[in-house]
Amino acid sequence: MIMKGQHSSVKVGSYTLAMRGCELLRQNGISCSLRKISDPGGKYGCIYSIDVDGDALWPAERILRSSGIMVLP
Amino acid sequence: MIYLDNAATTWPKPRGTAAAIAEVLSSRGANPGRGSYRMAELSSEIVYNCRRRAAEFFGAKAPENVIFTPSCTHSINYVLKGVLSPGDHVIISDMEHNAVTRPVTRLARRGVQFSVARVHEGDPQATVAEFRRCMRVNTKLIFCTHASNVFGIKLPVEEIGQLACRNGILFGIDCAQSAGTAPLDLGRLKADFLCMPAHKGLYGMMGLGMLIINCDRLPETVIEGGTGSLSGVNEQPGFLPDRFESGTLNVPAIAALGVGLDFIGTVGRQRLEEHEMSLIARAYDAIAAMPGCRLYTSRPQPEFHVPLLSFNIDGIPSDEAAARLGERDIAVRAGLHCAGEAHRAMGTQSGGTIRICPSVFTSAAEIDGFLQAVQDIAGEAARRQN
Repeated sequence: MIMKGQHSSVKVGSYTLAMRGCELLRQNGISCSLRKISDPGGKYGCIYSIDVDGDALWPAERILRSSGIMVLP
Repeated sequence: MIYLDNAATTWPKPRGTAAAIAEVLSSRGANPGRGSYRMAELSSEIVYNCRRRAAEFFGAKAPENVIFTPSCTHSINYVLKGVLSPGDHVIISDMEHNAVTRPVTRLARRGVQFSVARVHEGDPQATVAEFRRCMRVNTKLIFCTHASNVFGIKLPVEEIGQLACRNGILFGIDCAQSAGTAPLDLGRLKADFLCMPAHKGLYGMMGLGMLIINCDRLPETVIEGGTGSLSGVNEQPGFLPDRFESGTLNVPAIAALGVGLDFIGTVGRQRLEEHEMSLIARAYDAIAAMPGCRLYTSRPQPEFHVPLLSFNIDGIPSDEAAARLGERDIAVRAGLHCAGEAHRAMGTQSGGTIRICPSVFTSAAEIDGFLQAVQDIAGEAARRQN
């Protein structure tokens, strides 16, 4: 369960997708930041994390998916 | 110098271009999309911002639909070789640059079939009818130039795009001579692929091209490799732009392209086109009135031409005439312009032509200076012949 005030992250495959994702989220009033990470599961390697407030995780994922941005599991 | 070789590459570049390149080299020179330190972020931002501006400029669906490539020729190869398989059929036009003709010729050796549609200058319906006549059940792609790099003749790409769309055929355009000058809006144009260089009408620098993808039927990759993304996966990423952007990007050239796009946005594409068309019409009218000079098209007009033209001076091979202009510090290009098919179509393959193309920086006085030189050279040639 994600608690309000905690940060959570949406993972995407590339810097370009992360940048566009952040732009879309900000346009929708969701504050966010991005950082490059290594996939903790080791499957994907270099990926990008879009960090949002915990309670914005599901809206953020929905916005990204509806804009054609592939969200990694 | 009077520089009229802008069809080969625009020169000079807008103010701020050199500074943008220098800034990348001096303080933003990290590899974009790889590292997570500050300079890498700055470098990545340059790339993303330019990608977004290009997407807006051409009406692309999203920034990731803009692919940065090493050149327009690379972009064209990515489409032709990524879409076509043995047994497929492609239609090109008789105005193509070798950037299209040579890959298609190579593909034909591997079992791809192709047809060449004749272009009718100033008659869009006749040209579209030629493309329609070339269609077969196995036609997978129509790929043509937007405008001849030799004669400036425009192809009716909106109508050809509609024809392709109605028949479920992919449509790609070589925009080498039109991007930045002629209207190109993917919101209206039914094109799946736009290929273009950065260093011509977009006023960027050499070593950079763009492929703008406007469809879901993505070509197979021609180049695979490191993209800075999904590094743990051996398969090439399937998403845009990474699918087609293996290897380190040319960030200095991307920074320069960003300046070029801003410049066009400030001047206004239509204003820029009007300026260049007025100069090319001025040159056309004067050359048409000169004894001993030969033109190959009708008077340039924006609906049917981009602002460039070809001509010859009777009694002087095009290369010699260009050299004589060069002695007067006037830069033009002569010969076949890497477009043998176009010259064959127009009957100029034996000696080629002299080509001129102004840019937004060209003045009417420079065109007049060029015309005076042509008149002098034509006069000398006439006296020599008599």
